[in-house]
Formats: sequence, structure tokens, C-alpha cells
Amino acid sequence: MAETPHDDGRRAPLPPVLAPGHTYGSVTATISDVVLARALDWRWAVGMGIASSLLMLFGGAVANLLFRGTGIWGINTPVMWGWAIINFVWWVGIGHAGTLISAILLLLKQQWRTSINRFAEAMTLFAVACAGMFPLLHMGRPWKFWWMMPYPNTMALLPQWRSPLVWDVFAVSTYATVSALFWYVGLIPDLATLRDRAKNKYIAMAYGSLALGWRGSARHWSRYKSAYMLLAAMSTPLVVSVHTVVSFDFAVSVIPGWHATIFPPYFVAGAIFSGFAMVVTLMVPLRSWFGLKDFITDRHLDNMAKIILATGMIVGYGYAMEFFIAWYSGNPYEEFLLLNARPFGTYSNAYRMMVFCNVIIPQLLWIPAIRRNPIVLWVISIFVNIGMWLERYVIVITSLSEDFLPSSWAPYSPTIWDVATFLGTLGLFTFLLFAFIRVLPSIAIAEMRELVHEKHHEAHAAHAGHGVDAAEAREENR
Amino acid sequence: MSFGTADALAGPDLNARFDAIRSRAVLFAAVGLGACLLGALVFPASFFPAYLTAFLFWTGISVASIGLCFLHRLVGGGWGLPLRRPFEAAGSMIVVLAVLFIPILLGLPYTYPWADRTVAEADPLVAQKVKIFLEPSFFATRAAIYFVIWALGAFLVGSWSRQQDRREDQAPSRRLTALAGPALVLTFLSTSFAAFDWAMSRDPDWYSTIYGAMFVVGAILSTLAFLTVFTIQNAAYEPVKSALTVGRLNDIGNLLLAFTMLWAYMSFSQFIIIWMGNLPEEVIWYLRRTQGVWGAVALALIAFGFFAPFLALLQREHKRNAGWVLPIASWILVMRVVDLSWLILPGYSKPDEAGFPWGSLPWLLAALAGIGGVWMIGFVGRLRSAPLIPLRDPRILDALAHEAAHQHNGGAVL
Repeated sequence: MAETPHDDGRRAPLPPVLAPGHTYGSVTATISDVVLARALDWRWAVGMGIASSLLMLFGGAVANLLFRGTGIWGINTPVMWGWAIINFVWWVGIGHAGTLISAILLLLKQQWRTSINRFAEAMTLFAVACAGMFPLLHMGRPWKFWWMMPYPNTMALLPQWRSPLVWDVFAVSTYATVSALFWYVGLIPDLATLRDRAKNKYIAMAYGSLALGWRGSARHWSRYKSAYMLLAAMSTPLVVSVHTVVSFDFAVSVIPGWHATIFPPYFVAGAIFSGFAMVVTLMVPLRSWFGLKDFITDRHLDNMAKIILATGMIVGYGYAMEFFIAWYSGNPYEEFLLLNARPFGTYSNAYRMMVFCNVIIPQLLWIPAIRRNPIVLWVISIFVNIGMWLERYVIVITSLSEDFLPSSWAPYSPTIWDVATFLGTLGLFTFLLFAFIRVLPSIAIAEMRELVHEKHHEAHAAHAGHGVDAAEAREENR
Repeated sequence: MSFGTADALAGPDLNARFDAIRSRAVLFAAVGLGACLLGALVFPASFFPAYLTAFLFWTGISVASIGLCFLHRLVGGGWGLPLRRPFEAAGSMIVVLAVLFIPILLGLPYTYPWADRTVAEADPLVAQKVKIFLEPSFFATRAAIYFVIWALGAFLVGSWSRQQDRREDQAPSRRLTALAGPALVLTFLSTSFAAFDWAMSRDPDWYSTIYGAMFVVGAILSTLAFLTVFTIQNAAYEPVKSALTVGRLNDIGNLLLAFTMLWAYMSFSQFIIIWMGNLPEEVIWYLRRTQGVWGAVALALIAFGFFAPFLALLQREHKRNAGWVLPIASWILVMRVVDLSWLILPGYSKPDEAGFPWGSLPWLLAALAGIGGVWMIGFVGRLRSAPLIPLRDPRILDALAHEAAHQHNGGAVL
């Protein structure tokens, strides 16, 4: 009943979160076969080939950087933060969707998160890994990164605690640690499933050792559940805190265009915006390549599109407030930067493109048919990815290159090595994702079995007369 | 659990209670507004800022109620079952508040430093703003636009929701769904600008991009706290008794916790960014609010406005017990008034010159009672004229179906 809503002709029925007819066995088989049984897919091989090539480019770019120093990048004085910081913020932001899906939507009891959380968490981990590369490389001597840690040393020096860059070290490393733990704990029952289903002895041993002796006893499940909920509660503040600290990197300075109090919530919303766009960018092709459309349904795309629309509106609100307050404040530097330099100055193309991608294009998502059209949604998600990269470009470059004194202005342009490093991290990210898909279950098998159970339960409750009308009305009117 | 039409109307017990609230509200309105008239005529300088504070408190509740109706249309949830009708009734009071805005326009030079000619002459930055954005007729026009937007929103959300009560098909709810997204955006934007106009311009030399969002979050917190207190106090009577289950009280407690945190997050973000930037034109706002008694108020806001409700609401047992939620929500409401006073009353002054405005405090109480009395009379009247549960609202049916399938509503709280 709950899964076959009738339609009164005025509105398309909403697709279910799980295609009808699935059992515990079919769910387990479909997901684990991607890892254990499926033959090598040519599309996967091509993708992996491209990713590996880009990863080698990354190796080359880093090697050159280590030999010759950060001078190979386009950074100069005053634009000392170039693409490296843009890319750092972009990658960290992308990770936030994973944490939101896995932690906040779990606590909010949103059923539809079940089939996308594992994948989104993996995306978070890999995005944070890519993000971490940039501040490390930007130091020029990354092997001395431990100087940022407060450790007792002979010169009695501590890091500058009033610098948000130091807070960043803690925020991002905590984020990476908790995300990895959360992901791994969630994987344990599924690793045991793979251990039990593997035909090859050595593969079974590999999964078995990762499964930490999971036997699926009631006691295991009870402890697993409490650990998982605790990690979810720990991750929740991280959704907000990491990007808040990243926004402080800019906002606590006095540079025009950076020193704005709206930055923390607007950065967090932007992070979730770009993160969900990236999830859509990756999910749409993968669910069709690996036959997972029964689990990642059009309902998921619809919900993600709504989140993209909502967070995109918040980002647009941030732009509007910056714009209005720059005018209202009467501060000549803010006024110059926001009302003149950004929309009409040297980098105005980037600014206009940013507004187009982040504010105008997402308005299409008001239309339900577009939210449920995978191809159009995919194209929109690409626009958002580009737009959010440009947002960081606009923030970093325009503010630094033209701040207070015209005599100290300097233009900025990236070099081939900036591009190579960025493309390299795209390669690293894709490489890790492709490897993940073939080695680990990209949808949480145990949680999907739970969803099958809940769906039976709901259908049963509806048939038993507990508000039959209500169940119908509910599906009909979402 | 399902409701028939007669079940959802206020029963005789609840009607008797509403009558009692009404007669108390009439008393408050008469005494409060009488005192306000005296204050406005005899002590305008200390009266008008206090009146503004009380006006913003009640307006915040009405406007946020309209927004929360739209939000609930979009996201659903069981917490809407006991709160939807109170939200609609509170939202409709925006019409009364539009009338109560007129005194502010009449006392403009006492309410806003920029409307005082001598101030504008002394400060070129203020003079520049008075020329365009804070030009009094433009200011009044914008206020009219905000009230039209809000009144229209309140009217549509209230009347379509009531139409749904009388119909089997869901056409009114569909219309509301189609309206909810754009209307939410418009409500948020207009409230942000109202916050700049009515609250932030008390310090016409100062600006902050987060101010609008921070004000909205504070208003939502006031609304949730106020209507939680109201609902729990009526929870002994049907139909509120059946609507306010332990599970839903828990959800409402979580919302109070979330908005307490969000309010603190935004306030703290603004503070740390301005404190670390340390620019004279920005820190002046905090200097005005941290000297002398205001400094103690600021610390009290951190300790009692954030930490006290935050720590109390972290416990699951507290959120599931009306005996806890009632005092916590009442306390949040008190701290909301303190926070608004801290935002509004210090105003435009040299930090070391202005003392604490003791003279404004009696007028603050008078205005809170006077505006609140009128507001409550209208609110209760509007509330009891329709079923207290939106019977056929699909979002509500959705929540009921979900709870029926999972059996986790936990019974009535009282």
C-alpha cells in the first residue's frame, strides 16, 4: 500500500526509496556482487585508466614542487594564497555532504539516506585527503608539517593560537579521524557479509581480518548500534565546525571582501551545496553502470536536488547580504571591492559565472520534473561544482590582488603547475573512489536489509488498518 | 489515533481556560497600553527604545510563526501536530502588530538616533545613510511592504489550512505546498531587511552581514519557546492532550536545543570575527554592550541564555518530561527578552558616556504587557475559532501514519 501510491492525476506519484519486491537475499546479492562476482566492466577500466593517469600527473607536479619550491605556482605578493587555498576549501567543502548524510540525516531518522550514506562517507574521506594535500604542499616544505602541532621543543615555541590556520589543523585532522572511524565502524557487518560470501579463500581471509571477528550476535549488534549512534553524534558538530573554521581563515582578517560576519553560516551552506552536487555528479552515472537503480532511486535524486536548491538559496542570500551591507556600510574599501572590483573589475568574468552557476542555474530545481530527470540534474550538479570552485576563486583572488593601496596591487594568473596539481587531486579522488567501488560494498548492505524490514513493517501496519488513509495520503503528498 | 471534527475543537474545559486567558489579557492590555501612553507623552526618550524592544519581541513571534508554517508544509514532522494551529493564529496577529507599529513612526526621532537631526549633522556617516536608505519616508514605505508580505502570507496559510479542514480532496494543501518554498524565501528576506531597518539601525554607524539571519534565528527561538509554554499549559485538556505526546514533546525539545545552538553559533561568529578584526567602526557596537551593567548582561546571556538551556536540553529525559520542558522554555523566553534588550537598548552612544538605561525598564515591562495583551486576545480568539488540530493536513496525516507504523509516540505528556 505504502509503496504503490495512487495518483489523482494532478501530481506524479513519488518514487519509493527502495524499489518494490526486494528481499534480504536480493539486496545482499545485488550489492555484494559488485565486489565479488561482477566481471571487469570496461567503463570502470576506462575511468580507472584516466584516474591513474591524472594521479601520475599529480606525482609529477608534486615532485617538481618539492625540487623547485612554491615559486612554480602563480602565487605572488600580494596574492600569496592562490589555487592551493581555493582547491583546499573546495575539496573540504565537498566532504561535508557525506558527513551530513551519514550523521545528521541518521539522527533525523531520514530513511532515504540509507542507500547513499556509505558512498557519501567514502567521498568525504577521499575529498578530505585531497584537501589536505594543498596546505601541506603550500608550506613548501611539507616534511616539516609537524611544526604546526603544539609539542614541547627546544625553542619553547608553540603555534599561534589566535590564528584560525592553527584551528584548521585541529579541525581538519579531527574531521578526517572521526569520518574514517565512522566509515569503518559502519563497514564492519558488511565486511563480515563479504567474508561469508567470498568464494576465494584469500579474499575471505582479507575481509575476515577487517571484519574484526563479527559474528552477528545480538550483543554485537547492540554494541555496534550504540557505537554507530555515538559516532553520528560526534560527527554532527563537525559538519558545522570544520567549515566555520575555514571561513574564519578569511573572516577574522580585515581584508575587504573577507571580513564579513555572514561568512560562517554561508560557508557551511556552501559546503553542503557543493558536497551534494558532487554526490549527484558521482551517483548518477554509477547507479546505472552498476545496476543499483533499485536502491538509489529517483526519490534520492529528488531529495538531494531539494537540498541543493535550499543550500543554494542560502549561498545566494550570503551574496546578497555582502552586496547590500557593502553599500549600506559606507565603508569605501568594501564598497569598492563588492560593488566595483568583483562585478566589473579584472576578474568580473569569474564573478558573473559564479553567480550564474550558484544562484541562477539551481533555480531550475524548483521544477519537480527537473529534479527527477537524472541527466538534467547531473548537468546542473556540474554547474554547481564549477560555481563553487569559482566562488573560492573570487574570494581568494579578488580580495588579495586589490586590497587597500593601489600601489600594492598585483594581478594574479595561475601557471601550468597550478592546473596540474589540481587535476592531479581530481585523479587521486577518482582513483580512490574507483578502487573503493570494486573492493568494498558501496551501499550499506546491513542497513538496506533493515530498510527492507521497515518497509514490510510499514506495509503491514497500513494493511492492519492503522490509518490506511494516512499512509496513502502520505505517499501522495510528499 | 485519528480525530473527528468535534474532537479537535476546544472542549468546555479548554474554552473556560481560554476565557480566563482572555480576561487576563484584557487586563494586561488595558494597564500596559495605558502606561505606554503615559510613557510616550511624558518620558519619550526612555519610552520609545523600550517600546521598540517589546514590539520586536512580539513581531518576531508572529513573523517566525508564518515562516514556520511554510517550513512545516515543506518538511513535515510530528511536532507540527500540536503547533500548526498556534503558528497560524500567531501569524495572523501580524495585522495587529502593523497597527502597533504606528507609534514607532510617530516617535521616530526618539526611537532611532538617525532620525534625530542633531545626530545626523554631527556624524557624516549617519548623514549619508539618512539621505537614501534611512530616509524616513523610504523607511516607512519599506515597513509597509514588509507588513503586506507578512499579512498576505499569514492570510493564505491560515485560510487555506482552514479550507482543508472542510474538504476531502487536498486542493488547498497542494496550493499551500506550491506556495511554501517561494513564500519562505520571501519571508526570510523581508524579515532580514526588517531586522536591518528596525533593530540594526539603532546603531546607524555600524553594520554586520549576519545580523538579519541572527535576528531571524532568535525570533524562531522565541516562537518555539512561547508556543511550547502555551501548549504545555493547555496539555491537560483535549484535544491538546492527545496531540502533545511524549514523542512530539521530545521533537519540540530538540528544536529548542537546535535553535538555542544556532542562535549562540551566529552570535559567537559575529563576536569573534569583529573582535579579531578589531576595527574601530565595528568594535564600537560591542563596547556599547560590554561596559558597566551591559557587560554583566552580556555575560549572563552566555551563561543563562546559552549554557543553561543547552545543558538542560541535552538530556533526553528532560525533553520527554513536560515538567522540565515547561520551565526550560519559559526560561528561554525570559532570556530572549534580555537578548533583545541587549541588542536594542544600548543604541548609538559613546560607550563611556551612556549609563545603563534604568529608566527604560518599567516601560519595557509596560510595553511587553500592553502589546502582549492585545496580541493574546487576538491570538486566543483566532485559535479557538477552528479545530486545534489541522485535521486533514497531509503533513499531519503523514506524521500520524509514521507513528502508527512504529508505535513511538509514547502517550500524552500530562
